[in-house]
Amino acid sequence: MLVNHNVTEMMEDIPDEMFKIVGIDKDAEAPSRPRIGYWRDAWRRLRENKVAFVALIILLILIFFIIFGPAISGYEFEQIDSDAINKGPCAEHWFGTDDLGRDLFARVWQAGRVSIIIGILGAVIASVVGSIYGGIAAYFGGVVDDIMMRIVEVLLSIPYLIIVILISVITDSKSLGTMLVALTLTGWCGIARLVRGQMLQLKSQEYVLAANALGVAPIKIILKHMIPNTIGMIIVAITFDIPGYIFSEAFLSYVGLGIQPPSTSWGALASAAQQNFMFYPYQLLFPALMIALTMLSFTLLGDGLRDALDPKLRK
Amino acid sequence: MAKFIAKRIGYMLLTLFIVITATFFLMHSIPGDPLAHMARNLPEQTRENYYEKYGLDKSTPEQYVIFMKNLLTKGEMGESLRYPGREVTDTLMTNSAVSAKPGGLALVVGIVIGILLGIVAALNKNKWPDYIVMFIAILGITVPVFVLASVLQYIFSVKLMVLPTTGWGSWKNVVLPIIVLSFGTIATYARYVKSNMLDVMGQDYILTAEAKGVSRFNVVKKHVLKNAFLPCMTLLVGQVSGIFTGSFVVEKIFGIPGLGFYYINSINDRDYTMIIGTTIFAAALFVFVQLVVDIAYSLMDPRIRVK
Amino acid sequence: MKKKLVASLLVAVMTLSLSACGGKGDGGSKSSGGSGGGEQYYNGYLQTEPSTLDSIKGNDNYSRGLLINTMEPLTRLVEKDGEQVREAAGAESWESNEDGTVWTFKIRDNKWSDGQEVTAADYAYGITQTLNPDAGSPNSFFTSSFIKNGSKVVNGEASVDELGVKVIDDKTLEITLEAPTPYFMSLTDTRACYPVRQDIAEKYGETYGSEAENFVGNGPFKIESWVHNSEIKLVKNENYWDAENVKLDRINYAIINDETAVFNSFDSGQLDSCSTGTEEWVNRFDKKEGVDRVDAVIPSMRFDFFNVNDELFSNLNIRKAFVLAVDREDMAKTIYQDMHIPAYWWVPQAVSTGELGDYREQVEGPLEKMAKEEDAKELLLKGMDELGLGSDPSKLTVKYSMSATTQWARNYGEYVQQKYKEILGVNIELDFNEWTTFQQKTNSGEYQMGNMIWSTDYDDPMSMISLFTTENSSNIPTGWSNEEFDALIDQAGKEMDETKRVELYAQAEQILFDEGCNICPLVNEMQHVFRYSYVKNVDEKFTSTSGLKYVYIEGR
Repeated sequence: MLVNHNVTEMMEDIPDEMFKIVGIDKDAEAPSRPRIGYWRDAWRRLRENKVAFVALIILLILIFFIIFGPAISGYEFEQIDSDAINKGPCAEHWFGTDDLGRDLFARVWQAGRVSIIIGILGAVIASVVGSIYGGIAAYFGGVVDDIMMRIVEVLLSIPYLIIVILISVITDSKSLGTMLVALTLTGWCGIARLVRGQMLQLKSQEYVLAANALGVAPIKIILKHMIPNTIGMIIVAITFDIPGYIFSEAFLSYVGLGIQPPSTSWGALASAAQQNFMFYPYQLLFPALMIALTMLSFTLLGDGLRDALDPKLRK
Repeated sequence: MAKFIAKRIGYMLLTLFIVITATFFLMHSIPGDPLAHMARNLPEQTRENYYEKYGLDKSTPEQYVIFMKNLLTKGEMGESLRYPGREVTDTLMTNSAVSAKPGGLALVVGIVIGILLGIVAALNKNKWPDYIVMFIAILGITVPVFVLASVLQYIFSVKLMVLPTTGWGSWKNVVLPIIVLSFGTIATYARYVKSNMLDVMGQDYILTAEAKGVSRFNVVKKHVLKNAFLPCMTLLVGQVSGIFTGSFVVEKIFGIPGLGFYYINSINDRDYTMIIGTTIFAAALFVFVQLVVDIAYSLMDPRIRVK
Repeated sequence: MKKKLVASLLVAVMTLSLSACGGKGDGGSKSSGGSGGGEQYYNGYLQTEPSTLDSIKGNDNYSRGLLINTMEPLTRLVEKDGEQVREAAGAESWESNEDGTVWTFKIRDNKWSDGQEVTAADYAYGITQTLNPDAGSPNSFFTSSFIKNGSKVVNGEASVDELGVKVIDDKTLEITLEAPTPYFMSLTDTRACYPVRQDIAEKYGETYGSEAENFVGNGPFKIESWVHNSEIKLVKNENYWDAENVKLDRINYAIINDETAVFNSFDSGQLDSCSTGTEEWVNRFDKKEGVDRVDAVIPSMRFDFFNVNDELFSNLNIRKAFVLAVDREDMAKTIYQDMHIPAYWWVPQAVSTGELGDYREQVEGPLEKMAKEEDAKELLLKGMDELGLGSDPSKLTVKYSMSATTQWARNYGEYVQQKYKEILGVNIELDFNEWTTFQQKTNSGEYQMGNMIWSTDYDDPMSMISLFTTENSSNIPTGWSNEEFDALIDQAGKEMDETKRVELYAQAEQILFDEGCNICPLVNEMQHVFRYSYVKNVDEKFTSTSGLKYVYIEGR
């Protein structure tokens, strides 16, 4: 009581002239740093990561050679030379020749075209399809989840070779396209299951519950909240999948269902060199090295991307 | 929980049924003569007898009905078309037991080492232990299995002569296969565990725990590890059935009489009964492990509740 | 033996048939040098799991090698003093009537591995069941056209009782032939004439021969254990009539699917012998101490064949062009690293014509002359003209079907693709098939040209040349048929005079290339076997059927 009284008294003591109109500060609400979106921020952070940047450069060099290498070599990649069989690396043949006397420098880069396309496209298609599928299954849960996961189980359980044989019979070809279809047809299942596992966890996170309560559309929640938060795992999966696809193609070559000659791939070159690797290690070394380099760069780049894309690691 | 398991078992059977049906019709729709292994063309009458004996003279749906009837009422899958006189079920049992030994051990070894390496890498992010671990992990997946197997066989069996090249029966026969098979697993787990741990370590509850002064060791032990392992369990499902279906190359190089041989060669031979047999085996194992993992998942992660 | 998967099975086949050899010089009477029984074992290998031990149902080369050691055929072809002689084995003696149509075999006193006496009925059962369509034997082709009523029985037109196979008494077997067959005796050691115990076969039914326990043999060795797809162990059969001349106590066959693993195993001494067709391994093993190398031409051909019913290959000149376009010397060098020899013939080297010796030494390869006289490209253009296909070979695309999908097959295919493009200017589309698909495609005529291997079934040119008669045309389904050729083969089959028979074969082979050219021989196979020197007394001839009976180990 007493206090109130005093305050009122004090108010009365302050004259109006002690106040002045300062107007509206329009800048007060503006962000102090430039406003940048999620993706731009990620790109900025990726550039700051030196290791990832080096990886990116290695990849670009590889791609350069894959595009121009066969022309640089001066040999046709399928040209057989009975007089130059199994030659080691030398001035005429930088990577040596294979058991039909074909120039390996030309072949390695020619093969890279197939391998890189299969690796990247395969992994990307599988990841995109798999993430969305896994995301939907996890988000809706219940019956939807049950049915969707049963479909995945069925697809993963039907012998893969039968499917591949069937596709090459139906399309009557063993081209790059056929390979891609065959490899990705069930390839996305693994990622779908992985993403689903991760998303089941995220689903009960507070921000997802909040978004849900606020009536945000499910697809938006999946795309905006859940996928960015699983991106780390997805990226790791993609970088794992790239060599995975390169090797799957090699295995298919091994059992004769791979890409049709004269086309060739790194996997095919490597498995062709396997039998005589004790005698001509370089025939195995170069394709294996290219696979390893590609793999290494994608992994390091992937790690960089993971850090860059993870909203939690945002500074 | 009991209701959940019952429901899942129901689903399992349904999945199996679809897989069997789909595989049955798919395998009959690809070209190829199951009697071709007899190499020379059989006399007409003999061929007809074989077709009749194996029921190949009937239409695919009819064959399917007969097969399902035998499977469901008698638990029989029939006799191999490629190896006369051998029951598919016997082959599956004998050979899966063989595959399980190197494959299972390799999986355990791979997971343990992989997880340890993953933890080391995550805790030392962007320092040299991290780089070494990641180098091993990358190496593990960039070297094709057949190369690794051949190189190790050459070094240990031909050069050093400490291990037999091929064969089955002694512990010496499984050493190299385990090393080769676990390589990929190590790589996979190391990378996933590292990635997951980094994810988890950025979570609020970890920050809270750290802010409250919980020691680094305890934070990792109590919070990080469990949450980082959970997503890895999904990987396990494919890997367990992979023990039996994915070891073709290693089993071939080291002469291990496992199931991988039949899984691939039955398709090449168009040995229909064996194809279905191996498929049922792999699919059943797959859905079963899936169920186990799901149950384990819900037990370990309080956020996921079984409804 | 049979069609094989190109390039993949070869090695195992050879080692087996090789290790399936014995009896050189003194026929194994030499003792093992008193070094005790401990070292009398032999480590061989099979490259693929045998499908069964049942001699009636199985026909792969892997079980053939096993059976030769565990079964006692009527006779064995054994090398003695550098020459191959037919030795009495399951039959003590044999004789034929005057015109050579009825053969009587006196069965030797011998015991099965379970102690039962071997009787004529056991042999009769094996021979008749092989021809019985209900038994489902893929081996009926061996004897069906020779044994009386054989073809009819196989085709279900006559009952098994009507076969020309008769048990006179416990120890006498009589076989009646359709017509005099000069080389009939060379069929008596094929699996179509192996004995089978009726009681055992019926007791186990379908499972007879599928496990070591479901099987009995009467040969020098018996099967002790069989771990499927891993190893097969044989031990000496003490019940065997000639057990005293069998020196080895055990034979271990490791089943190794991977070729490099086989070489590594041999290199580290875990196998006693191995066979390789790779120059690098040959050079490596050449440098190895205590290892012997044996090279031999084997009666086996690698060849292409054309579908005569195909629009393009219906033209003889085009077929000839494709046959002559192959630079066999270059192929042998580039693809086969000189491990096989260029082939200008269909009947391979190492096939003998009775007393006269190697057929190829008597008859020049028909392609040798043809290759000198005619030009492939000209023939192609001529053929294209005849078919009204214009004169631009680059507009032609030919589908080349291969019977394997291995890396080797891919390499080979790419070579062929390149060479045809270079020499004829035609495009080759490669079509890699698994064996099952290849068989189906070629049998149903859905192919243009294919690639295969064929080796002899028995030691006579007839085995190879008769494959192209109208009656046998389904074996290599080219669709080609020629009356004159058929007549010559028919005549040769009955001709008891060796010189005249060779002449008939030569004429037929000439027609095959002049009129047919439905096959394109590429290389005549060789085998390169490496064996540790402590393995003694091995019969090196490919056609030998003495198995490991006389082999012994000295100084392991």
